[in-house]
Amino acid sequence: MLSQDPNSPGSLGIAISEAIEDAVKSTDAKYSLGSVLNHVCLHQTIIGQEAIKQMEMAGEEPDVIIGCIGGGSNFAGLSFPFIRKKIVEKKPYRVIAVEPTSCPSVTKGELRYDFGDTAEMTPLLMMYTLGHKFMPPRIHAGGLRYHGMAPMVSHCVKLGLMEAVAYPQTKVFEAAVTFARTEGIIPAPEPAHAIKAVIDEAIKCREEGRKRVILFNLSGHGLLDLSAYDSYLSGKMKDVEESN
Amino acid sequence: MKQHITFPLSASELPTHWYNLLADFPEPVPPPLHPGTKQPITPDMLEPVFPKNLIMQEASTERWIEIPEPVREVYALYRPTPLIRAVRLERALQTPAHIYYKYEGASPAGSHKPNTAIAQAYYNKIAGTKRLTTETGAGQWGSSLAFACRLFGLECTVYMVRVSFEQKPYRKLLMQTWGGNSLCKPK
Repeated sequence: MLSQDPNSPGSLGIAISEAIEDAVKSTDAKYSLGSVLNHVCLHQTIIGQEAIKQMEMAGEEPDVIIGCIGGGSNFAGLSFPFIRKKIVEKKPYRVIAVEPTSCPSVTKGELRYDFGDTAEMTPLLMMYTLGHKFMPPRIHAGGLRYHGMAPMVSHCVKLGLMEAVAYPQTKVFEAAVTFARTEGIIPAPEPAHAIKAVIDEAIKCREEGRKRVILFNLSGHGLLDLSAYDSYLSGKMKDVEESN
Repeated sequence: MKQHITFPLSASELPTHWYNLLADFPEPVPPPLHPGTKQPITPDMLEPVFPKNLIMQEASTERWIEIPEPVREVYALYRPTPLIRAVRLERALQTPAHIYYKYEGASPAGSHKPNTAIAQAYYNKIAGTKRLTTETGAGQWGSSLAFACRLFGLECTVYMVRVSFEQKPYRKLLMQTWGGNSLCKPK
């Protein structure tokens, strides 16, 4: 890939292939994936289970549940225990996933079988995908630069249990700065996507004069992503649309 | 009058099980397919890549899966994580909405990634794995796996996406600080 294009930004899809190859060739090494797969979504449900108890302590039920999606695991972690209540108790929650416009796997992708990686080493997964050869542009939210989507999250979209929206990175960072200047925590670029959707929902509530309870996953802090904030605050950050 | 804006859970309220949505979907997820035969893959095909215990977990449709005690003990380093009401943001937006956020940035790695890194490192450890390989986008996953591997005594090799390697040098340093054996290979 680099010999063809030395300036290629690389992608998660390529790096997955290298890591798998290493594990397959070694006798005592195995591969570990940070998102997408069922067992990863499973482990992350500790988030939503705690949140259910905590919302009970707060004496409120969410109307809207929001999280960002790259591979889908932090979103799954918060939302799946609530989606269970949607299915079993018929709770009317709106569940919204947020992705970058430059890597819109769910809002612009196709639901079909596709490889999880660029070199075609994984099985074919039924998921929303932009195609495994898709090279996501160099946005600052590196964790969201993945062509596909967790099969379990994709299935929720297919069954109408959730919806998805996309935003460009300058709007996302505007929301991130608003959050940092009010709540104090500097968000990671990835959950800043969720924050943008939260702010839009809150503004809709103001315009409609309606109180809604909005719950979102602030999946990480941005203290190691300050170069992204530098880019935004200095005015250098540009919006990048998907390249192919 | 003081308004409660944080809703802390005690250590004893840390969940005991993970929840598997596969048990409650009204129709099943189409299975992963072998690219050559286009038939559903069988567990043995994943053995070069994953330990058997995680392969079984990947395919499981059990609704509640018990969190092993050694995993819960590590979770207790930073969990349960805070749930906070964003009253200042509400006021700034002049919205009647109530906004709550679940803060996963409270983990040592700064994100939700350790929740699965810790579990995967544990299951690999008991399966006899000595080293884990992985890739990382922004560096948050690689850091989290390096942290988890260090706690369970596994080596960790991280393949980092080139643009992130350049944009986020401190991630590589995090991995090295935890791992010693973590390598960053820019792609």
